Amino acid sequence: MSQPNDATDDGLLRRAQAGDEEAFRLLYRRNCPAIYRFALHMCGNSATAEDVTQEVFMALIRNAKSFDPARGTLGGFLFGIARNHLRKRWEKDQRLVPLPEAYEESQIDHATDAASFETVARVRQAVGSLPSDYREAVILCDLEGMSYEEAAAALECPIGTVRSRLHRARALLVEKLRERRPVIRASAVGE
Amino acid sequence: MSVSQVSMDCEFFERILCDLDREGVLPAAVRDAALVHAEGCARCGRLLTESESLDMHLRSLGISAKMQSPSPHVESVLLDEFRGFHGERRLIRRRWQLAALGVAAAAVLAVSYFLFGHFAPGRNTVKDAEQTRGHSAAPAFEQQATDATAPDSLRAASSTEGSEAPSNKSLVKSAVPAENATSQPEKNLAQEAAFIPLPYADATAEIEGGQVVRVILSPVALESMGLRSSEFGSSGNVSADLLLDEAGTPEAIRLAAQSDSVSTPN
Repeated sequence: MSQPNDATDDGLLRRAQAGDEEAFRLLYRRNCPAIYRFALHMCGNSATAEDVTQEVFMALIRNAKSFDPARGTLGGFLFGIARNHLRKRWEKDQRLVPLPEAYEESQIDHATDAASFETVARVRQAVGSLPSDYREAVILCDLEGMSYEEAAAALECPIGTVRSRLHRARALLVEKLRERRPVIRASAVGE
Repeated sequence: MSVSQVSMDCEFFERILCDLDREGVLPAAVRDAALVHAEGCARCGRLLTESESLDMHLRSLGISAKMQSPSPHVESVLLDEFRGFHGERRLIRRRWQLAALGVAAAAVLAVSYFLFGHFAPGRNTVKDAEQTRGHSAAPAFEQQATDATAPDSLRAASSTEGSEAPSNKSLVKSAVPAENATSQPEKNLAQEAAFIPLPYADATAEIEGGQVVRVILSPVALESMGLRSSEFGSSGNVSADLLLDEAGTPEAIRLAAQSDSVSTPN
């Protein structure tokens, strides 16, 4: 019989370590969207994002003992693994470094209206063009809504570093969005 | 801390700008002071507007990304991996358990064998009995046969034959199993001691496949064998066992009463 605290990530992980498939399934479904989005924002490619997500949870299956709850949340731990995998991929293949226009059209939600579509595409491009350290901070703190502590644990750096990276990243984003706005408007008007 | 107590300037405002919308990062008084400062400062007001606009854009990006998720294939691959990993671990654990069980069983067997070899109650008794029989029983029968029951002349004959005696003994030894292969060792020893080789018997030849027959011999028959009935303490017929060779020729004789008396104690 499962105990009440088994519904937490730690409890589910313990059960998964003991071979409980249902616990692992719950753990995956709870954490995979955030990991996938992080990978997608970081690499701009859905296939790569799926690969990274798969590798992250493979690592969790094989090496779950390396997670220490005293050092942070399971989410932070998984983001850390995802980040390491992304970096390894970038080192192997420079093609995976996102370019400003590298985002796939398939990621765009065509259900939204044209203005939203334009805004989202513009912001996505701006985020994708940030240096990876800054991009990580923006994705974790602004897009995934992590606290500085959680982001610091995932990025394996001090809280102050996260804050300063986020501050600079946001300044760069404002600048990029300010630069692009007239161009996009002009092209939109031209169409 | 109140708003008036916070000294807010453009530099400090810029530093805390990205924390303004984050709950729990800044004290409420500092946040309020920053907002008051932005109302009075055009530059900081513009920065605040841009920051709020960026937040809104990022939020819309976040909302659009929330609809995306990995394909179900990833989950099935991971579940397969999970099953394989834990199945393999179970297999490895079971192998270790079996190995440990085998080692434990071998250890128990070794200890049992050692203890049985040293402390089994019947083991020394059997050894002792064999030693007792080998060293004391046979000489006793020999002594009985030669000293107590055999006639004096026969005793003399066996003693005077000297070197022939051992060969006759060996002759009798080989013949006895043919008589009764399942008889007890004590009885064989008694028979061995009681048989007396006949005078004409070939002392050097061994009897193979010979047998023992019980006969009643008249004094004449005894004499034909080179024996006298007076030597057996009787003037009439005598019951005796004859040891016959393969051809049926008597080679040795034993008084039936003698052999019976020897085997009686058992």
